[in-house]
Amino acid sequence: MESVNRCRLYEQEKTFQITGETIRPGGFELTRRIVGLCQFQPQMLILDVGCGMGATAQYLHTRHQLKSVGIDASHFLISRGRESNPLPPLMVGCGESLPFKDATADGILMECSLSVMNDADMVLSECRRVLKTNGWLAITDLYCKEPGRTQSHETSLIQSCLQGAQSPENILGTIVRHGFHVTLWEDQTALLRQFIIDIIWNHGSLNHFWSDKITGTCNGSDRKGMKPGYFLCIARKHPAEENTPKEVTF
Amino acid sequence: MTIQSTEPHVICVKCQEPLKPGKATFNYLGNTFTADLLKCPKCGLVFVPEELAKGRMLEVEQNLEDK
Amino acid sequence: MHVDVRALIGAVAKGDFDKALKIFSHTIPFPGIIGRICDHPCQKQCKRKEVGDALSISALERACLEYGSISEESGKPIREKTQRIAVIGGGLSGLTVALELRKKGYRITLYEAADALGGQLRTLSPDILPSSILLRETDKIVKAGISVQLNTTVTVQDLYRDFDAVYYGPGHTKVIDPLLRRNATGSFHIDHVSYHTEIEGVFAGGSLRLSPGCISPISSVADGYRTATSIDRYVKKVSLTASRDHEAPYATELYTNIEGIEPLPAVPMRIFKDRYSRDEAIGEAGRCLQCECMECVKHCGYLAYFDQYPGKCLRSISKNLILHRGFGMRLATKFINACRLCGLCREVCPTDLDLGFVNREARRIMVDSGNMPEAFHYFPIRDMLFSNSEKCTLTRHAPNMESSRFLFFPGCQLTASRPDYVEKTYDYLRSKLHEEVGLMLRCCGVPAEWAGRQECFLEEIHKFSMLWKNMGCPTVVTACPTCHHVLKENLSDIPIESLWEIFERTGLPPDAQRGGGHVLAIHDSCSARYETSIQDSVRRLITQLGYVIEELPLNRTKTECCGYGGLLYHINREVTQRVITDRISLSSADYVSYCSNCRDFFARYGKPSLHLFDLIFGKNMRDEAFHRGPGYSVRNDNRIRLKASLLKRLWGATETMREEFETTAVLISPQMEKKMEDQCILVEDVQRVIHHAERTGNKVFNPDNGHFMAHLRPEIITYWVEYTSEPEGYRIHNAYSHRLQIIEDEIPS
Repeated sequence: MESVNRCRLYEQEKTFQITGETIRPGGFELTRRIVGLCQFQPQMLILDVGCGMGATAQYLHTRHQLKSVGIDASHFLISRGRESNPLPPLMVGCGESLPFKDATADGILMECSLSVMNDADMVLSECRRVLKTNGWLAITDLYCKEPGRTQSHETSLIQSCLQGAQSPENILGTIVRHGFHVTLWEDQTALLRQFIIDIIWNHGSLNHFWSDKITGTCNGSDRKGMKPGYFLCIARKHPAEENTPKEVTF
Repeated sequence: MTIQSTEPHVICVKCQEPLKPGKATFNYLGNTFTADLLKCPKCGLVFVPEELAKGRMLEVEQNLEDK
Repeated sequence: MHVDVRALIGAVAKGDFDKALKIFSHTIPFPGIIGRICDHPCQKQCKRKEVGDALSISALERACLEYGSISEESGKPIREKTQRIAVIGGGLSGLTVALELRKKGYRITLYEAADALGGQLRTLSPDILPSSILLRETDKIVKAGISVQLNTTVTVQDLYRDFDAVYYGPGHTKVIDPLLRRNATGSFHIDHVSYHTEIEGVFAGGSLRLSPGCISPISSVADGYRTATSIDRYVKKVSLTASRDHEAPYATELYTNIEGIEPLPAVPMRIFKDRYSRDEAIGEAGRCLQCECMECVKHCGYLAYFDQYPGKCLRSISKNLILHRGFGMRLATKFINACRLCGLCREVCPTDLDLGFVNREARRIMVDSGNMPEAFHYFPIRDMLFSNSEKCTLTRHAPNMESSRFLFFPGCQLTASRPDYVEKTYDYLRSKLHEEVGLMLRCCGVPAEWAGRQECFLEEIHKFSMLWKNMGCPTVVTACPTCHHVLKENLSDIPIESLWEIFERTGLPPDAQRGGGHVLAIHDSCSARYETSIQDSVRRLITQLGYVIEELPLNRTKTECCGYGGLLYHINREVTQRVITDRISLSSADYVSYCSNCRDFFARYGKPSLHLFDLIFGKNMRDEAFHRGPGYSVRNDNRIRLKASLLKRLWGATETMREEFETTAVLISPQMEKKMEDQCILVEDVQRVIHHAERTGNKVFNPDNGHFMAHLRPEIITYWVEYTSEPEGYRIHNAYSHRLQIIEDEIPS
């Protein structure tokens, strides 16, 4: 995976300091809402894909008595998570290939994690496979307000949510294309603003945050000109099998 | 690696209480957010040192003024 | 084919052959072929031919093939369409049609009579087009999934029913297809825009359109490309000809200034007989003019600073206005607000593009849609409102007069900077105009216009108009070129005359000092750009006073704004610094101008500058030229004092309105004064803070240094003051401000 060589924003010490153990805008506020909106009942199996150190999985387990399982591609984060808590179970794995049998999960959460995965199409296809019929998919993430900007930062050295941010149309299109029925799309850009302000406030400036004193590779200038927003999207796995159009490789 | 190591030691004159870091609410250009400021624990009077006004506050202002 | 030749050659000039090849391949479907055999009609039109030889464009493209490389295009999944297109002829035009249509997803079948693809390309010498290259290029057809039928001769008739469209590109052929053949000569009509023939769904192009024996590889490719567009539209049942003006070559409207460019011949091929070496290619590419106009950027420090080509500027500005507020796009807002709105760009632009007009409109739109942060223009607007408040305004007929034929309107900046000149001028005018001249002290409102606050501006203009009517509609005498321009543009019914033209009629005060031949470089204010009579009048007066005038390189209609225009100074100090420094470096002579701010700005940045008033009323030119001009707090004081002093002296009236906080005595060191000045913090602001803190007791104390700290937000800025109490007043140790508003509960006082 070429992403290995990039400087992972979400693994950096700095990001921990601000958000505690949850590396995303809004902390648990959105998670709490998701649980309410999807009406998750105790003992339901909920997957947190891109779980980081497992803070959300922990939260779901402790506060909502859910059978939560966390999956993350980062060995580093998973091992740190396991150090803090043996339960709930955390595994190393990637969204493109979920280590679960078909139709076993009641819900899948991807909080600020879809945009850092390599192949959104494969991830959503896997989500569809693993979810029970009518199972819930909840995604919170960055979106990009500026159309046509998504190509410009392909060479960015920082792998973070900013890079994978797509336009709302693209995101919704991908979700729908994989047989999901969207029940909610909400703009949560205010939370993103607060997150960024927290970074500035606690690190003196965004530039200081971006500059990594040790490796010197993370540079904020890559993000100049972007207009990110933040969203919450809830969708359900559509029962019927949709015919995907035949694709031709050129 | 914390930044807030050299906070000035200031006292609220009315309450004769030293100011401590506390949550303050800010508003600018229609955006409301919270951040830490030195506050009097009794009456809530705040203090903004110059480095903060010229540093982090200015950067937040410019960020929000972005169009 | 509209290859971006400028960018391609620009890349070669830097030695970046990979990038150049990428640019070439982006447009040309068979770069390996065209790069070697293109007939380059572009070279005949190359601008460089006017200063030496045209660029050897084709040779440079050849060099890209030689020294550049690109990665194989990764498979892009294309949704296959159901429609089938037939292509007759495997020559360049047929190959191009086939490939372009395949990219759009159509199912293509290509028919070629010979046993291999290439048509006339196969007749070329292998030195020019090696067969391996030809094979590699034509293989793209097969790799794309196009069905190729070699050794097959077909007629349009055969295919007509089975395909949704047919392309006929047989090249130079003696036998025209029977269905298309109309008359004995075998010629038939092809629409020059759509390439559609008279048969429905049948298109034709390529060499067959040219005279016998003529070939033009690029023409064949272009035909193929354009026909593919036509066929795509035809199948989609969309107009074949709409909006296709710029597909074919067309004359450019671009103006490129070739003044001062040394004529240079083309770089010869010394190492290889038929192509450039790497270094030769780079050298030849270096001759490229990189044609672009940039006249405005060449003349404007602001445009140069932002390094933006005008077309890009317009796009940035429109994007800024369309998208909603949020994070990002800092540049466009800064850009819009840093323009001096002075009109120089329009003057130098071959097409009269006026970026000032665009920026002014953009500001209005931002204000109207609630997207202009109030803090940006807060200070100058506040200054304007202050000038138009009770404390500073005065509108009166001359003492003991009940009517006025003239109304002296000095403007708010002169009043703030040199109230003494206002008094002297008014006294002199009264003596020369039989006391029939009234006085109006106020601001014309231009800061609001520059800030995009149109409503506010119109209000101020309206007030001026009302006051003028009440004075009996006198002729307004302006001392400030900007006031003059504002009145002319917005209150055209009001008769106005420049003070300088009046002085020419009345004569100058006899005790005015003479210049003794001292040379002064004259700076015209940007607002007087088109006021030739004012420009002339000023020059005559200066000469009359015994000075020798030197004209700056950009003057009169092409004058540059000092930095006050458009409120630049308050928006961007860096750009201000740059434009002023550039302006004052144009001559070693002392400057003279007839606008108070121009003079003050130049003096502040180190250029000895005089105002025409200095020449008329001044006693010591050296002192006046180096005089820096008062700070903001003093300017406000000057306005108040001028009104009070005139009221007392001339009209025997006293008006004292002092607010409570004004009695707060403050002690400010020169360094502190400078710091406050830099941040646009007035003494008044500091007084308010301390008055409030002392009254409510809401202050913070630092035991380490014994200082008190307090804050207040009178309008939209929060001011912080650090002070100590001394017998003579409050000693100010520090003052700063911020725009973020801290939401505080009401603290009981």
